[in-house]
Amino acid sequence: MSSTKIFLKSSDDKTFEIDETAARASETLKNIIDGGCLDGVIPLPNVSSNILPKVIEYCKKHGGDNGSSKKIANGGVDKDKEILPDYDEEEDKREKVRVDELKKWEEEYMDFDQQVLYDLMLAANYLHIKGLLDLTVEKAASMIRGRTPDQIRENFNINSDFTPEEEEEMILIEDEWDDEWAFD
Amino acid sequence: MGNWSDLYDEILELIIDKIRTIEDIIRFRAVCQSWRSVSVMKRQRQRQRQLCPWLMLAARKGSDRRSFYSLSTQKVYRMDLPGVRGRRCWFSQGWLITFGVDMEMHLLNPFSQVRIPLPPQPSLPYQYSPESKFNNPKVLLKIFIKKVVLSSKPSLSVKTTHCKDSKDENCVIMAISSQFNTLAFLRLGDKVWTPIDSPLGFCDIIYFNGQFYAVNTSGRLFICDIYTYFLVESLGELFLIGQGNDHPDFDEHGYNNPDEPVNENTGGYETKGFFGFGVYKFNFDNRKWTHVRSLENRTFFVGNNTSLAVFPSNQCPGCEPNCIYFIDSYHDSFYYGAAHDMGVSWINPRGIQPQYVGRRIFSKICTPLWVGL
Repeated sequence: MSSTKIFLKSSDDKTFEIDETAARASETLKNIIDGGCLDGVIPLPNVSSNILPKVIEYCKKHGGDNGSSKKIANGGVDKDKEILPDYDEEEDKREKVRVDELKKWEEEYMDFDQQVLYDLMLAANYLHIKGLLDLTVEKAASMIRGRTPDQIRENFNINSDFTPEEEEEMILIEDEWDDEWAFD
Repeated sequence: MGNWSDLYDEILELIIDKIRTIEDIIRFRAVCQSWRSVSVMKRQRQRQRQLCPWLMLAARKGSDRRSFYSLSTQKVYRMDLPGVRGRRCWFSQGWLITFGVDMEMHLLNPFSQVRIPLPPQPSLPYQYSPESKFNNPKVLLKIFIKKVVLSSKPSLSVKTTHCKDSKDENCVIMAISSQFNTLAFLRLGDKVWTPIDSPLGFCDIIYFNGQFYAVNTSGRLFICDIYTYFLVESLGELFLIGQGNDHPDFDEHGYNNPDEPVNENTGGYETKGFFGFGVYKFNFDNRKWTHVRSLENRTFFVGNNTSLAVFPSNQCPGCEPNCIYFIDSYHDSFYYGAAHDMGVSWINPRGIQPQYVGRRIFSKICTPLWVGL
């Protein structure tokens, strides 16, 4: 693989460098590169300079491999490998280590607040980086699951635009598990 | 600063896909208006069910409150549902169908509390005689209706929160009822249930691939045809006219194509909902029906008579070419004392208009029919 450098310009006019192989993690960038009209710097008017390095970090890690986060989602088992006739136990172990390492990396990588999450999610959507979009969406969902509307609003800094009566109506109330029951 | 309540719908939908319980969806919808509407619209479009259902626990006498058990979290939730107080319930397509001792029937969405009235139980076929010991609201409540199933979610705007006299002809509701377990259906907005001429003893029904299927107590499967068919002969050709606005073949032939021109002269004319006609010509060589898009200047007259075909000449006032003049032809319609449906339908561009607008269509003896010279 060649390691041609690509230059990306953020919305606030700062230029960042990325390897072409890494840039290919983004479907949008890949199309621009393959389109052959690449002339110097690619402007990214929707991505700011505090998010772009984060995006580049992800692309570097995944180097054009869009499927890696999927493997994790499937519990690290690559189904194609299982049906190979010369199944290699060593290879399987190495794969597991690789997946574990990636999981750990993702955990550290994803440690940021909701504002970065929001911007990174939009950047991943704009640049068509499926793995990153998946990660950010999953993080947002994890900040919703099992929480009350108030907690969710706090997590994402959202103001309720419902009337107090509407809010009251929408409250989900837990009931007694086994209260007395009169059958009639 | 990004605002989460303004997040693109497509991304919000990705997030919703990762929410795995009904209770989390309910809470998601309570966050803000935009999240609510994206989630509701998504559910309205989606056909595949992805979340584990709740178990609606049995009713307590005199209580507006119902409890729901969640398999996902093993918790019990309670909701105030005054609309189901003292009423039997069935569930289909996200809606409860309720039936009470007042003999009224309703659709009720348990989450939005939207309520839509349905025709009452007395308009279902095979009622008990007035002398029967079963002809008592409390008994009827327990035994008369076996099951009620919807073809699709009624289309309603998201903001609606109160009782609505809704009309949605695409939403067909089928019931198994009476001591004979027979079938009856209605299109949302109808004032009465329409019986289906069928064998007895059904135990379940489902809407699948554009049609209702029913199974009887011996396990035989039936396809429920809720369309009316007419045969018409014209100049050596045999035509079949199917009446019903979501005829399965219509889509395939682009009949329901929204891009197709619609005759605009339909000005608020209320029919029972049989807007659409599909016309087929019989091919005697391969013995198959072929869908036709044009009547080739014929005019068809269908109803409770041998159907007629006319080639209107220019001097034939009142008789439009390429139209179907129709009269309600339900076998049982005169039972209710009215021919509820009457009009003229254009085939291409499609459209509908009234024909005879008078009161002399109501009769318990003989409804109108076409007669010629």
